[in-house]
Amino acid sequence: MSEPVALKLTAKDFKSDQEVRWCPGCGDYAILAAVQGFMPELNIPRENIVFVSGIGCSSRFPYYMNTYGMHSIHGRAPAIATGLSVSRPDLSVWVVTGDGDALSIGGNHLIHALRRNVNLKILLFNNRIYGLTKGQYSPTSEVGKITKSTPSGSADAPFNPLSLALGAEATFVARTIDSDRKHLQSVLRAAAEHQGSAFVEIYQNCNIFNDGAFDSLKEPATRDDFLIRLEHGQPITFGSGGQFCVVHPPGGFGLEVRPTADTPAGEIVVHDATVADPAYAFALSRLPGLDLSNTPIGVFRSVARPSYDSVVQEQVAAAKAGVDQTPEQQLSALLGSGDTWTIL
Amino acid sequence: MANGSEPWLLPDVESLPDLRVEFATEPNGEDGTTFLPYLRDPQTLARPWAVPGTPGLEHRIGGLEKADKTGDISYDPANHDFMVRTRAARIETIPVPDIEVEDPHGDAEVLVLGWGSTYGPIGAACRGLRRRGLSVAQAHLRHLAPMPANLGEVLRRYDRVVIPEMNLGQLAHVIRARYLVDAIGYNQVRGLPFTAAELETMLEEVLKNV
Repeated sequence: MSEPVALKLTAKDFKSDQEVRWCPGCGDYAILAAVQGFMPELNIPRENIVFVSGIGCSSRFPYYMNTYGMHSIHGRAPAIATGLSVSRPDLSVWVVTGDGDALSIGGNHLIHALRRNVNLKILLFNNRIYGLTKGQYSPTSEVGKITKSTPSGSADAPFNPLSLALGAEATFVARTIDSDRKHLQSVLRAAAEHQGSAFVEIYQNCNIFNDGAFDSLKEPATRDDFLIRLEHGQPITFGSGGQFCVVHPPGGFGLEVRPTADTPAGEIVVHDATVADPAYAFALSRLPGLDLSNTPIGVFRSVARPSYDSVVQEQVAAAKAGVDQTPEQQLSALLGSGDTWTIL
Repeated sequence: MANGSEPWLLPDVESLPDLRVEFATEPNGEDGTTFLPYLRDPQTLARPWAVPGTPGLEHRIGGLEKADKTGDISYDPANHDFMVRTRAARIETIPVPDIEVEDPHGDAEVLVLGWGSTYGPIGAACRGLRRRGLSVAQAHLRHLAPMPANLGEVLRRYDRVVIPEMNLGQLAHVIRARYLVDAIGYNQVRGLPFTAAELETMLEEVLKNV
């Protein structure tokens, strides 16, 4: 196989000529710039890249990418993208969605795309609020959150998007943060390389309706003590001086954070994103506290499983092989099969 | 459900219409390099379709209002008005066959207009009335958007128009609004089809009062 020709694209090539309209200061701008900056790495012609979104602030994203794009139906981007991906294996298909679009109205489409392992890269911008409709609570808003639609505080237990994705049999699950371009692009890179559904939660600040939701993960004074930066093959330690670590306590089901100084090195969990049992990545997803302490970012899980696309394409190829009838003849034969009769 | 059956005419595959789409492959702007995804076919008002994978024709579609021709996001009020009218006009360009009226006596003063699954009982009721020497016309809509071009003229030909529906008058409201015809609704929502006998009784009353 010959080496692919370098296309020499730049971030500018992926900027459309449309005026970007999000609120000034929105985290979406940073994500857009990071994605546009990453796209040249794919070395895929712009015409073979498609961004599909649903409805919401984040779903305006495709308009600003100079690729093919669909600002589609609320919650249904995974369904539309599934059809596109399965019928066109030559395309790189990306879904952009938000916590409302993906987890409320689109909850079922999301979990079934993940279950099927459709070859999609799904970017979920999670700002834990409804922004486009001006500040109601979302499926990821924390319990007790006071919003316009929960004046006494939210009574709902929120979804943990990564736990949900893992429960839906996702083969690639990752989390990153809007303001950390380097980390965001590293996660995009890993997602792009994955064959099958890649689910990426991006913590995104809505500076109008939920400002500062992730400040503890961003502020220099706190972020090192709050963030667990997952790296495949590395012991999971964190904190400004590496003073915390993650262990699997004997007799327990999950993972726990302990002081590194009190923990024998051999007991510190070494991160392995390829563990077949999703229970490990699930335990990682349950580490954060209500104050976002112990929040892992990076690739939680990356395992190989045949994509829905590849299985369907194999079936279609097998069905076509050895057929000597025209499509019209095959359709006639199909229609005429079974119990048919003629009325004179 | 699995044991249900009904006759269904198998189509002759060779006679099916060719529905293949001619996708856009080249720029269509006057400058020879621009692709205008919202330029419209003058006859059908349809937009060109450029599918992903076509170099140089990358564009975005979606629910935000677009500027005519360019497909740019548009917040211009005049453009929105124009685009709403254009989309409505595009639907109106869809060719629909004229509605046909069954009026074997040729002197009916009452037309029964139906749509959907009421065709059977309406037809049976009309035939029952005709066997008794009464004249009644029947027409059945197969297309609602657009309506057949001759529908207004057909409706105005009759003294009374009766519209039996298994709802509270969805078609009757449209007919009254669009054609200014004082249609008589006959409405049942029992979850059961009309019987020919009840429609025949109802229509006989209408005929008496023409």
